Amino acid sequence: MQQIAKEKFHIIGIQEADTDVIARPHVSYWRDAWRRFRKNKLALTAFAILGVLVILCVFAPVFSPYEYETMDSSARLSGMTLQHPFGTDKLGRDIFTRVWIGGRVSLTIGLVGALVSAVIGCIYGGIAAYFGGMVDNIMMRIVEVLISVPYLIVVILMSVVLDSKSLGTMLLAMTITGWCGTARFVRAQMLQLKSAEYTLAAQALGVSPWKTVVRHFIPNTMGVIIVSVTFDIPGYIFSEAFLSYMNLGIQPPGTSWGVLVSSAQSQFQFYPNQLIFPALMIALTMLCFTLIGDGLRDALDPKDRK
Amino acid sequence: MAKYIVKRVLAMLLTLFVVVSLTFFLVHAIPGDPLASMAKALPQQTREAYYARYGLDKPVFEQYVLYMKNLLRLDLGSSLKFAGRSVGGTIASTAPISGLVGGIALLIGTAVGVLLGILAALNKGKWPDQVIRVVAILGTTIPVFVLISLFQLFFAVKMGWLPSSGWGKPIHLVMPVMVMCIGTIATYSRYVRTSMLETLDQDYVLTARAKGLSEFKIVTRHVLRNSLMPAVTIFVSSMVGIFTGAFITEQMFSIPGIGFYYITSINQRDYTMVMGTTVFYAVLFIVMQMVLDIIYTLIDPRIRVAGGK
Amino acid sequence: MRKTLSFLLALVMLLSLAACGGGNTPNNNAPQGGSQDNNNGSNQPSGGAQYYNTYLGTDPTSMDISRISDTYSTAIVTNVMEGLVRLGEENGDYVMMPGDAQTWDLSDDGTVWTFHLGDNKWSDGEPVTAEQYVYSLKRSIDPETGCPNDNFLSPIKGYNEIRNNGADPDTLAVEALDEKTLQITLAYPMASFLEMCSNSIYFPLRQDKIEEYGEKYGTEPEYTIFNGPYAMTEWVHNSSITLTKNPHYWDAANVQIETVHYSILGDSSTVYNAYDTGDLDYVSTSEAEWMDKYLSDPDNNDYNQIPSQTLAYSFYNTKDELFQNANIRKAFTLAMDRAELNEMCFSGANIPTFGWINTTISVGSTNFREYAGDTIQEMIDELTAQGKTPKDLLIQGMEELGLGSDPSTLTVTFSLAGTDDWFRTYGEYLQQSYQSTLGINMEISFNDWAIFYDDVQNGNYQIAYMAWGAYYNDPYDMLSLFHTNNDAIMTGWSNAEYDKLVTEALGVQDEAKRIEMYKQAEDILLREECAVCPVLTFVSNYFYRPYVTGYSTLTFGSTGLKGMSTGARP
Repeated sequence: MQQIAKEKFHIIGIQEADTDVIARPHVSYWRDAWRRFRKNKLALTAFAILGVLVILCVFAPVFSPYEYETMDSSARLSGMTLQHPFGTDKLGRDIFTRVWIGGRVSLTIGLVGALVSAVIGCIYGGIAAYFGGMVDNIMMRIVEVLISVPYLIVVILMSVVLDSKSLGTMLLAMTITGWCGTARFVRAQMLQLKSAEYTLAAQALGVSPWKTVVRHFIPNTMGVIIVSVTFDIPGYIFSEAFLSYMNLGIQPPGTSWGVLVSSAQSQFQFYPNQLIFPALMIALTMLCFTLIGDGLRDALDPKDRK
Repeated sequence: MAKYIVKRVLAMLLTLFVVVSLTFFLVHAIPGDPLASMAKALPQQTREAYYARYGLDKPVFEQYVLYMKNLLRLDLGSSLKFAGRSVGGTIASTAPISGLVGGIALLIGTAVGVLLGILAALNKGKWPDQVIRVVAILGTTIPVFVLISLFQLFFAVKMGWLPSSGWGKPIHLVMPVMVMCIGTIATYSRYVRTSMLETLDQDYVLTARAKGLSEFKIVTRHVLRNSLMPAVTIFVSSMVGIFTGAFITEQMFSIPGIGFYYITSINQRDYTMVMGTTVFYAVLFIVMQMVLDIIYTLIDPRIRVAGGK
Repeated sequence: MRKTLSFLLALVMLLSLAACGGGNTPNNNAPQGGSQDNNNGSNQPSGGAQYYNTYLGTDPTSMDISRISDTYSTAIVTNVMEGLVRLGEENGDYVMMPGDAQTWDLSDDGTVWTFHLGDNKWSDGEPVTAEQYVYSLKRSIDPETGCPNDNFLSPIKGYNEIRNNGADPDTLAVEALDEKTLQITLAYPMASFLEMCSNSIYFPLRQDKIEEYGEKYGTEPEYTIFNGPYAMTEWVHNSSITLTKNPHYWDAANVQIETVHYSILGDSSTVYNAYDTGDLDYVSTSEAEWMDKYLSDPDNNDYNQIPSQTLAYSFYNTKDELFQNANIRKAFTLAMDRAELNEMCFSGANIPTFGWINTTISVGSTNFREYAGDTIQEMIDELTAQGKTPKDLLIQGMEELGLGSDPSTLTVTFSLAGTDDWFRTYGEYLQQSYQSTLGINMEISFNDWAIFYDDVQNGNYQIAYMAWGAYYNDPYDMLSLFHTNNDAIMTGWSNAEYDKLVTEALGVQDEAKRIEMYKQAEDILLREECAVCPVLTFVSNYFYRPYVTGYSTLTFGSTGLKGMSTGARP
């Protein structure tokens, strides 16, 4: 056994504060969530598929030999062939290219719409629930008004007033009342949390309302918010199709998954491929978001932090 | 509680007033008039007589005051598009039909959806969960008109089990209810699953487990009651949606419901019909919202009635 | 002026497009006519159950004949009401059949019509009288009633005074000489007046019932009274209508079908499904795929094709900066490949049309199109012969207007109305084809009908699309639409020579001379001025189950269900 010389040791001093130091690096709530999300293989796969969809939407039309709006009278109503993997439509346009062009619109609308709804809905619902009383009363009555006024009137009027039917106008028209549902939801969920012990503790410690909502309420309602967002995505995609059907949506030659599906409906017995591919894309998007949503929920659940 | 309800009713009347006023001015602000949908070669005199009959010749504000006065007497006027049909009568005869089809579908859908949600939550990550997840995705991503075409093709044309469309016999209810159920099941199962999972993590569930309560008791006593909140919230929207959101289903099955009037009246600038359906919808929604707020307090003892603070 | 406008029909066509869910069948729901004779022979099979299941695309607006303008209401009214005469069919030709009027006389100067009524009765057993006809016509012309298609009364003396100068509706020259004799005096001789009398606005009305029911008259079967072959017994709005044979009808012996059930089906795929299940005995389609499917099974589907009188066309705003120029309008009219359009948008189901008068209209026995030729095709050929293209015409026009010579600097807006996928495909086709043939930029403006109509009325458009159904078998019907006094198509176009030709031709008795005058007018409209761009004529394709017999094969037939039978029903 080796002898250790005394001179090898020297006093470096001791500080009171050091006794409280946390040995492991501090892991923030969000970083921890990310760490756990990465472990969820299913969610990651979904994330990858969604990534592929987005990449295809962005690049496939660029590299496709066909323009999405160019007609070809010699290639009408083609089935699935090597030249046209998804077939062609009535005007001889390549459905493969059109699906990706349509995806640009549908994904944008679905994502932006759901995101805007979620953000505004969370903040609005959170504030209403936090303050309660008169504030909540007034805020909820406003939501009731917005939900009760027929949505079509608002959309028609907006396209007339703004004299535009661009993607932006449509998104504005759709989100102007679209967030109300989420707000009602979030409020209902948060009312439940309002009397939770940790809220009481936070309030007692003088935490600001904003911080209470963001740090405590939102993470604890994340699960339900995520589900509502995943439902909002196809919801927005179909609303767009309905508006396009009412001549209020995306203008020609533009197209979207919703438009492709609804225009293929009447003859889907004869040309199922025209309907299946855009419908499949909507389903795939929804699937990915559900899986990602479930992954996120698990990752974000503060109760699961270990 | 009584004071709270009085307050809410007053607030409701105010909200209703704002909704009606806003809708009135918005719908009159859209270009085009109800005559456009009838015919254009109308002689000036006929046109004027028509406008005078429905008071459309007056300034919009005057029309508004008149409408509000009539509304106070619960008179919704008569349709501008369907000569002689009263708006109130139309709503009274069509809304119950939508309510019947949608109501059955909603009840079945909710029951099945909640059950599947519970099943999925209790089997998180296992096969029942996955199957239910797939059902939910299909239920929300297949557009309703495609679903209806497929159902009609299979159940009516191919198998001959059900009539493809129509109204009047109980059997006519089967397909529409099936179609409408699917969306409801999908929605409810997802929400219930999620909020169940959240509740299952709560400390009191842990406590209950520690106390040695049976899993069945834990679920029924503690978890369910606390995780039905989102289901209750969407139940109100779905209930109101029965009357306004079933346009395509009703049209494709020839169901004489209210959805047709709610959607087409706007395109036809049938002002009185737009207003009538909006009033109906708003009253329903606002009353349901009030009931919902009261139910919240009953379901979750921790929530004090907002405003009763 | 003999005003035989049928804007209403066209409008209704358009609205029916708007109303037919996902279908692209412009004539999905044309009313069905019927007569004793048809391609199935006149031997009525008997024994099978006499009921008939059919459909309508949209709920009729009313059963009040003074207040309807849509084909759906008309389709029902034709069967539950009886007018003076019915337009029937014999060996493929129109034939006038007696209705309430068993006989009729015309005065020597051709203006006074006297109708001798038979003893028809209403569904409550009351007799039909001449006074009821007088009441009905006067009610329709009264502005207070708000009748949307009272222009069908325009040949009657007094019409213009009442309509334009506010004269008392009572001054309309219709008189009940006695209980069973009706006399109508016209402002001018009109040979086709009798045909006009088969229109629903000429049906009688019961003053007592209308006063009893007030505003509710015509809204429900219990608030309506009928004098036709059928009475409406049930009306579930937006769902179904049931007609039952009216025992009080004068010619009840010739009414075969006992019960008729109309389903109201707004979506075309539902219609096909209902027909395929056997819930319908009849289906109408203009989708090539469905046609092929039913044609391939001729044992179960009797096919019947009727070219409709509905012409699809684009029209130009001649007050517009760009479209004020005739060469530019010509460029747009000639640049359109109608055959390709028909193939691409309609799978070849309709008829490409190269003149403003469609292919089915004739003057006397001479088919107008055969006489006048395919005007637009000739213009295209002439242009090609000069070695020019429509684009050259466009550039020529641009230079005339001082707009330079580069078409790609132009952005043209094309306005369309209607909520149907069919319109979308059509708009996309036009956009692509104009952009490639003329090198311009084209924007498509979709709107609901009310906004579209508002824009067109206010001259707030460049090119727009509409469809128009001719009501009469005479070119005047279509040509009068472009008369300066007619504001049905708001092109802002006006041409004195054209007005003169069209108005004068009406009074010309010599058919050869008349057709030539019409041809000259059409040449001004298309060859010289090109104020409009005819596209194609819609074709209706009807399929009946083989046990259905006696249906009409002519577009304007008004016998409805009267001559039909399902006696061969298994």
